[in-house]
Amino acid sequence: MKGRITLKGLRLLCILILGLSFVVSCAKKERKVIKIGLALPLTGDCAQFGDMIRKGAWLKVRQVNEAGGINGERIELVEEDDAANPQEAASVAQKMCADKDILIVVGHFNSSCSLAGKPIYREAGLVELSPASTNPEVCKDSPWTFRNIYEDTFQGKSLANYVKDRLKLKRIAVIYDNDDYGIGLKDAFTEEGKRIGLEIVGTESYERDTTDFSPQLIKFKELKPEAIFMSGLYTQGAMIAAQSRELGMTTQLLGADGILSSDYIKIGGKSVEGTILTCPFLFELGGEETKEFVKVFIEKYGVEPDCWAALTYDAVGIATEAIKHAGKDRAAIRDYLAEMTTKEKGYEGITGMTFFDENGDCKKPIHVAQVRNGRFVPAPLQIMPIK
Amino acid sequence: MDYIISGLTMGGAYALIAVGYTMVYGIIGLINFAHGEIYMFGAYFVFAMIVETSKNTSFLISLFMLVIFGITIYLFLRDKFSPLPSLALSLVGGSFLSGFTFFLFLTSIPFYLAFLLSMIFTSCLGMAIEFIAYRPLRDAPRLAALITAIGMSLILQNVARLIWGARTRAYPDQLIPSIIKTQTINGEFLTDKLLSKMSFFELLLKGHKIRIFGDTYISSLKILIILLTILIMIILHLIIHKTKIGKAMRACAQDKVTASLMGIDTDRIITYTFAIGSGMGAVAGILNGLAYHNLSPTMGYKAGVVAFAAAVLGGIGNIPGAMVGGFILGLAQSIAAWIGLSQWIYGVAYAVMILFIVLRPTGIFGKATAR
Repeated sequence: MKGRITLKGLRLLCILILGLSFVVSCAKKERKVIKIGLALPLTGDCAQFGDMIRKGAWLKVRQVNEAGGINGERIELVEEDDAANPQEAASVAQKMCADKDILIVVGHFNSSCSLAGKPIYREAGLVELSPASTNPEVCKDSPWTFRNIYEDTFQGKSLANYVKDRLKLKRIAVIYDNDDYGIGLKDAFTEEGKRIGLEIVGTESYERDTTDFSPQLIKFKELKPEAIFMSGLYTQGAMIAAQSRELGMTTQLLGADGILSSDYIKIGGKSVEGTILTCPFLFELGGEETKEFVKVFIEKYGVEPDCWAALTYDAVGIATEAIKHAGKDRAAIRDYLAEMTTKEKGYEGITGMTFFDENGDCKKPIHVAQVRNGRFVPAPLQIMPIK
Repeated sequence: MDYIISGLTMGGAYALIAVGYTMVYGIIGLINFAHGEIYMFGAYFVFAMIVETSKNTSFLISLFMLVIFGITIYLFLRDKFSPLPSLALSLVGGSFLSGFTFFLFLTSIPFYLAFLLSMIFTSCLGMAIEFIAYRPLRDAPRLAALITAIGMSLILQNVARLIWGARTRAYPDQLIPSIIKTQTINGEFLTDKLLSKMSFFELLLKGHKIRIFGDTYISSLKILIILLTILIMIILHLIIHKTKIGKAMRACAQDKVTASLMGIDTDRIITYTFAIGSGMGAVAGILNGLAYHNLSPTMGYKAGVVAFAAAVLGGIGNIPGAMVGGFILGLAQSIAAWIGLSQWIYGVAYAVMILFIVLRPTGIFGKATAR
């Protein structure tokens, strides 16, 4: 009796599933939309970045749709939260690849997430266009990964040169976040630093969930460095700043784009004043179109955009451009991006000209910001090109 | 020397949380995993009270408080009245109180007041959790209660995330009384150079620091954390060994059934235990928020795990043990950093714990109990 019931149930289930899938497949054919995936951290440690990325992406999508979409078809943005966590990112990537209507994915934010997604996107043949992952490994060995931001080796090297040539500092201590982003950046900075004659007096690391940095900082206090380079994210950076000030250190703080967030200043308060950091893009150093973007953004959302919003805005722009020219075909879109190799074929966005090298990396200029009176402003000295 | 101070501060913070774990375990044999979340809420309540919170957020918190206050009032009234009137009364009382807290959250109130109120709020939270989540399972298998505790912890974590968002926050510098937080004098950071010029009293009055020797200083906040830990320990010891409630607590810890036969209202005693433990948790949370510039919905979970290890190390159920355990773990972490294992500080701390447990399974102060 029991067996018969389950068999019946099974049969019913099969019919239901078949029916449902039929309905779903029919529904899909009817709708005329173009789907762009957006993989971003909406919860977790990078939630604030994720929020900005989302705003930037939606702004571009709305503008394109208001202007008539791509060849008359509307763009739909499919958001998936990777929580800044590689495991989550992998399942997000699988979801994205499984939805055959998604033509290109803009994301992920964190380098470790982009790396986790890389093999999955490569396998499925879907372009992953990251507006923010700067780890050198992200675009290597996969024809399907691109980014419209510089990579860490470039950023780390530039910072090392900047420290030596512009700030004229010599003794540097490095504290890094023990993940792909922190390690990659630290390695590039240290290597280039040693090459050009900086003295790396100490290197310490921390895990993302650390709240007490005093053991590492006390060590630095004894070493008396001229500057501390924090190779990590804003939350921990702010805590390092505050705790170092509490220990009586007034050492110059250096950072990279991971600490470029208003929360860095909110959490750190007075102690982050004067921090110098490299960042992909400063609105003050942009052109007319950039000013227009800032105006529209503030009108729409009531907050000022950050550079991630701008970079995502451009990444979505690149994606729409690619779809417009290559059509609704994942492979053709990839080929289109891969051919954007020179300035002439590049994409002129609000963050400057984007074109890719053979890896899918792009070399955009680096800006230097400084915290002054609770705001990120362009540092008085900007970077020199690498010799 | 700096390392020892840092270790003691960390240890103090762990010890304050560990006391909460160990008290509850001592009495009902339950590992209250939600204690870490109570610690987190303690820190967040102060944040919400000292800064001007937006209307929406204030409303959300007040809604949460309505539930908490309602349950707490019901908990005390239901012995005296029949269920229905006490339910009605607690609803009225709860709405009144939470309406009041709405204005507390909306405006900015002084830090000390917020500190005290936060302790009261978290005590209510602790009692409410016990009433809704643990009391129905008092006689259920231990595993059921343990899983409920983990569930409760997750629920509270997500409530906090819903109210305040996942972002890390910090107490704004200007709203914290300068005596426990001085980084600057007249806008200048207190560098060692500046400090070395000051006399002992100047240092104490203006910089709120004490020179130990050389250029090693201890700030008032760190002194406060360490002293408060010891003070709270002494108070708890007195409560447990010198008062009637304490006697009743000890009786419950030994044998609940016999205690109730002797006319002790065991449920009431357990409620008090949760109230005291949660109050301590709030203190720990606030001090931690001050010391490390860090408030996040997951802070309770992270600190809770280490504090739980401290409680086990000291012998779970034993209050002085929890404190000693906390200090040992804190010192172990900073010594690990000192000898160059900064990447491994948690590893070293747990290794120390495991070593102690292997050598002395009941913890440092634990008594071997036949169960």
